Amino acid sequence: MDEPALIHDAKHGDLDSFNRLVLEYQDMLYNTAYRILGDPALAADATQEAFISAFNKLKSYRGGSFKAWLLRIVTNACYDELRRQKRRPQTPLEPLTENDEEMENPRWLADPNASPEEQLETAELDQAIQNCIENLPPDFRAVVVLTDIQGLDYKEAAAALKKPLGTVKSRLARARTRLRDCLQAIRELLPAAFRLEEGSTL
Amino acid sequence: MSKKPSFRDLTELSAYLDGELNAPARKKMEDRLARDPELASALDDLRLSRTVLRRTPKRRAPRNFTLSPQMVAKRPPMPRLVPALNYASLMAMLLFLFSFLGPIAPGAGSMANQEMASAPMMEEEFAAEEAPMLEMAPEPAAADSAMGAMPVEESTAPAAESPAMEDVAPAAKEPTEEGGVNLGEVERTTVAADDAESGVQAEKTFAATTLPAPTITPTPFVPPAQIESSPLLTPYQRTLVILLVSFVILGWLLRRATISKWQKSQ
Repeated sequence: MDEPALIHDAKHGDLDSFNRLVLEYQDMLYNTAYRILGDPALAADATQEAFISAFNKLKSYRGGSFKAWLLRIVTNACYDELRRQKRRPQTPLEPLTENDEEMENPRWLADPNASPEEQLETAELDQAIQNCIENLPPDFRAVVVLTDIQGLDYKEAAAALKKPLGTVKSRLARARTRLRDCLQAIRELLPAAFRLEEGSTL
Repeated sequence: MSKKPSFRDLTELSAYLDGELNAPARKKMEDRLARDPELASALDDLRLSRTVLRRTPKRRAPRNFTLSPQMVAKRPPMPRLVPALNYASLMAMLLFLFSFLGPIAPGAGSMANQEMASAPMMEEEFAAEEAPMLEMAPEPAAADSAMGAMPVEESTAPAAESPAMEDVAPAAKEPTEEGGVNLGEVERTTVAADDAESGVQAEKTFAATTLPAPTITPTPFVPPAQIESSPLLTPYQRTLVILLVSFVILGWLLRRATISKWQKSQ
């Protein structure tokens, strides 16, 4: 894929060229949105909004990492969604137990596809990690998602978040420290491979 | 000698983990790590966090997010005055509708006329209400017989041929005489009922005399005629309609102008 050529054509209104870029980056943008928002439907909406916004603002793209530029747009779309949620808090549709407490895992919320044990464990781990990420403040969440999940280096993350390099560095350290405390609680869920890597080289 | 790492230490450790420290800083950190087990333990924790996050399962996009031309179609901007005009035309429309419902519709001058017109109307209404009461008057006098008579009065000609009519006719007659009220209408019906005994021909006249009886009740109201003869809209309403139409046209023209300006700039 000749990315610069596609970007050039898309800048001149060629939607097909832009759609090829969409197909290339949609998984990455969706994953980022999902990890920040924690909801598949909201993440899909944010991803779609981000691509529409990216096409409309393509003329403002002045070179550099296109990936970081797209990630900035999707992160902003996620921040908008989080602000909306703050304004209109939603009540989860979880049933109550006899003691008027929310039932955390009602039967009707279970994923019917996750029947084998392995899938269940993976899903549990995934959900546990996601809960740890969601416990972070949004700014920290975005840094940790971009660097540790999407693999951006500090410079790219700083460009994507429009923040100084030092801010990214300190936020990432703080986020990792907080995550460490949260992950201690789910240590038994972590596969052996994770623990083996602790002693691996950098 | 080892102590809990400070936040600054953790920041440096995190950057060291990602290979983001320059060469002298990295060398310094490695020396400290070799001497300080607390720092080394903190590095392990940070590494674990990073490893877990890096290993999180990647989700595939649930659908393709490719864009269609409709999704990226740019909409022309809305001129600032249009919402204000829409609001003004809405107000004009509401006032126009309200003018039909509210008392302001005929105007201040015609208010007195309306009040004057309402007086005879009330009298007529009273007369109209009284008429059926006259027909009902016999009821308290001879309730049983009158109750029997009423269905017969309302019934059609074939009922008159039955012998029951003979009993009913005098029964209807009695209350009129005993009541002592001037019930010309009821008398007429009773006389007709007496004649009915002679045959069907007479019965037809009975029906003919009874049916015109309620002619007093549907006295025509004068106001409807006045409304029909008056102009369709009052000057007040006409002003509002003109306002409404002009606001809409002005809004539309402004919008057209903005769109053409926007199209030229594209």
